[in-house]
Amino acid sequence: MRRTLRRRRKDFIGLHVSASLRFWAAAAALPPFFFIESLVFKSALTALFAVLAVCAGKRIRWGYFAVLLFSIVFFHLLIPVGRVLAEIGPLRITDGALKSGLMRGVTLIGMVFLSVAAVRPELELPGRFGGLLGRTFFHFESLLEWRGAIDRKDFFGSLDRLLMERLNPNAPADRAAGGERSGGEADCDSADGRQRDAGISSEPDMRGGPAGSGRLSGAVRGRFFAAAFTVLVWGLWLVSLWPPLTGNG
Amino acid sequence: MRHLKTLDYLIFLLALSAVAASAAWSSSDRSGEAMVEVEAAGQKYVLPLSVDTDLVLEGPVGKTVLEIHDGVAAVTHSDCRDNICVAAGGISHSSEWIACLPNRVFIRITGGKSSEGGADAVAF
Amino acid sequence: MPLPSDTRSGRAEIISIFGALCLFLSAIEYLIPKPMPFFRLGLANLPLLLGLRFLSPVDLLLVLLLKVLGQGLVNGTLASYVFLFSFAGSAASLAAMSLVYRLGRNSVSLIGVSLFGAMASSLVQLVLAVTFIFGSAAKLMAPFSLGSGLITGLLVGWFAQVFAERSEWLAAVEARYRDEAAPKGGGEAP
Repeated sequence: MRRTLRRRRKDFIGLHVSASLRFWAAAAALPPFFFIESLVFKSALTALFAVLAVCAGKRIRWGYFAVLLFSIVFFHLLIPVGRVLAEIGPLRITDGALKSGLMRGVTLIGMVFLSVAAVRPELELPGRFGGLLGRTFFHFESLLEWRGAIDRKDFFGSLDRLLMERLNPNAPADRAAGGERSGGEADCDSADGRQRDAGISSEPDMRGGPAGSGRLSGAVRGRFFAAAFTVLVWGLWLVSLWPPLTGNG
Repeated sequence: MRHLKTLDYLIFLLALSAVAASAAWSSSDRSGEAMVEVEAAGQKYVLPLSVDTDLVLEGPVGKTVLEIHDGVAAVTHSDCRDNICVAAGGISHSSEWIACLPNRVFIRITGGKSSEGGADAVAF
Repeated sequence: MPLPSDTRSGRAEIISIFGALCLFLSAIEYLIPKPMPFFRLGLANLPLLLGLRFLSPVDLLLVLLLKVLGQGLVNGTLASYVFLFSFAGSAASLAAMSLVYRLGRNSVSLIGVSLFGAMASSLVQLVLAVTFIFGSAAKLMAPFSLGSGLITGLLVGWFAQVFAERSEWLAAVEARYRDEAAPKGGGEAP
């Protein structure tokens, strides 16, 4: 199967930037990405986000995003706006509809790429809810570890037995001492399942956070990367406002 | 099915009618929206009448400016001599048209309501 | 009592177990081949359906948040529109399911409850897709979107009904939850 043959992918970003820093850097980059009205600039940023997502060890399913972009553009073309570029049967392809469809599609897809590159399961949410989510991931991992126990022919029976064995709140609390959060493995397998939906899957074999050795310099480097990235996106937005560019865009 | 109870059937009927209603809604009024179709010097344009826009059309004589505003399309300026197209005023109903022959611009409205139903809308 | 004060308390443990089951089922779901690219079964809603019978509204809401935030973190889609869609759809579904479950108590099965929730979820997501993604021409998709909601709602409801009737685990969890809530009168939280 493809999945077992696939090379394990490393999260290169995680080597330098902590989970929370990369989340906030992406959050800071999101507004200017939205504001950019030049299709060229926005596509360039989307390509950059795709590269980052790949660097983050995520496998992007290009086919999924191609279908998404195509259908967004198609539905926009159904309502013609602007100059007629071509007529295919009853469908009139107009420049305005084409541009707004591409714009919408590129914006949404870029946002997903950025999010996927930036969000790690290790991301800690604050407060008691964060703790609750940590426990959820802990239980999730223990379920995934035993997912082989799920029998396709007797799905609910096997699920019930698995739950009885693994997640019975009445059982003696021998396993309850587990960590609050360790998303690594959880991501590894669940990714294969759930991420298909967003056209993404990943098999990172890393632990969250910057590497342990040379911690200080690593942290500084991480902050530098995050800041440089945020400044780049804001800068691109400012450049895209430059009148000579907006005039013909 | 032994599980099913009265409200289940009711919900099922409700869901089924929702699907049917959505099918009727999606297939109805396909050409409902009024569009402004423009032909100018070999170029074609299609614009929704409901969205305000200005369009500058280049023709053999010069520029013809089409403005769509509050659901009314009108030529507000033209480089041609007689300016019949500007004098024609605004159009807002299906099959109404404006032409600027010297500049080879033809503007008409397709889809939406025809003028017989609501002539008072362009009474000015 | 918005949140359990101790994340290891019985109540908190049960909430997080339900959340974990949501994540696990959505992982399983994607091992099943899909007939259409945008088709979703929504197995992850199963725990919410199962919890309707005994979890308090606050706890159901917490399970919902754990489900959508957990999925957002695992998939990495937390900072994107995918998260908003999943949150809006799940919230609409939970609201609709709670409503019909509370109103219909003895005259509705989990199949009807699930169907009602799935229709609410499909409707909300359709409206969002038309306004934010595809534009008004996407109303062409409406019958497909609602139709698939109907099918998946029935399927998941049926699964939930079967599971609720047979599961030893669910009975054990329910007993434990009622145990936690009853004697102390819900006085564990501040």
